[in-house]
Amino acid sequence: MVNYSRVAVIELPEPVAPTSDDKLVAATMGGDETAFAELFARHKRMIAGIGGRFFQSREQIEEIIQMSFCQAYQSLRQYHGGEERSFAAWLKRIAVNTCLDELKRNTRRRESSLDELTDGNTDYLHERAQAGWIAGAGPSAEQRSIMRDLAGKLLARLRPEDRVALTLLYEEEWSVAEIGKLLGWSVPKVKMRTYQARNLLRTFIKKLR
Amino acid sequence: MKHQTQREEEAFEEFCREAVYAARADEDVINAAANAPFLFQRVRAQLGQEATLRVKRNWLASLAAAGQLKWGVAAAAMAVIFMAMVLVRDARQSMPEPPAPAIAATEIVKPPIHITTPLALLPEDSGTLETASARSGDSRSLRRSSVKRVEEEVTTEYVPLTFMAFADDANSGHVVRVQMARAALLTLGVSVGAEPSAELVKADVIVGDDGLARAIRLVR
Repeated sequence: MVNYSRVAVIELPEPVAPTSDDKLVAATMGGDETAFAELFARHKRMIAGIGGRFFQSREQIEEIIQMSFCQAYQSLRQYHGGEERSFAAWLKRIAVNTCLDELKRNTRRRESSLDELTDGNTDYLHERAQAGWIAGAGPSAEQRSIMRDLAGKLLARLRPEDRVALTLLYEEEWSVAEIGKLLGWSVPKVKMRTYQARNLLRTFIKKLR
Repeated sequence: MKHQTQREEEAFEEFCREAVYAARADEDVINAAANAPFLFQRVRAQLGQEATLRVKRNWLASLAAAGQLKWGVAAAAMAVIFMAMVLVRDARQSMPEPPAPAIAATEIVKPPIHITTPLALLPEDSGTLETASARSGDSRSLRRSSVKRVEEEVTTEYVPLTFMAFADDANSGHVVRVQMARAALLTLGVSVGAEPSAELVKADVIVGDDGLARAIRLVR
């Protein structure tokens, strides 16, 4: 038999509600470094994910995180918060624009070109074209690797704006209106960019065949 | 035929979608980048550097403004001097010729002649140039002595450690000379251009009145 008089009653602490992003932003603007560190810790993974859609190397993604947070800190006065415009959405917009700037810089450097296509790349393109662009049931690891390499080279040939629009449309599955809102573009501009991106890809591939 | 084209169009769009998916980084790489060590310190260091640059740019802007003001004042002064010279010349030309003095003695005494040459017309080997060269020699020796002083101790610029309140507190606190490991410097967001190690490096730290470090510079 259990002697209940000897059982200690442990009082659990009240669960602390996490501070909202808007409060952390206000604290950061008031000079609280730990608040900014908290914002950084909360959103760095999201920014890394955005960077990873455009860049494959870890160093470049780290650079995107660093530049995005610096830009965000310097523009904090322009953040007004509220229900509709969350801090995460505002930060995402900054990160996408940072990626766009970085892509423009890379285009100027012209790091990748179609001349670097390997035989494996061109053979794979021929196969896909002959099959009417329809993918096989389950691509092998080698095919996935070739496609990955090929995709990086093909997308590097696109104009940075076209690539960003196409990536947001397919990867994030956002509507044209959402992309326009995020990038500050009109809906026709987003439509034109995605159309141009597809057309350019088709032209590149035709040249190779 | 039309249906076939449409089907091919859809398949090509699917290929584009596939290419976009394939071009993204691996999840492992994304996670590694997000959890990279010292990432926040790097953000802090970059913000600190940009704050310092902004302060410097403000200084340069104010210096440039002061420079423009100085040139304006100099130009105005030159204009006033020129006007004064023109007025004096005109006044001299309009003055009546003095009457010829009556000659009392037969012997004419020639007055001593003093020729005043404008500086611009002086020959190149004149004393003025010698003075200038002597002056440049002085400055060279001065420069030499300052180089000697610099050679004794080379320091970097101060890197702010607290990017928020640095600008306000820059003028208060004390400078403390310390020796610290390279690895410890990296944790402060200061890049030392080498692999982090336990090797000790000299540094000057500005410590605020509240005991917190405000800025650091490396000393060699």
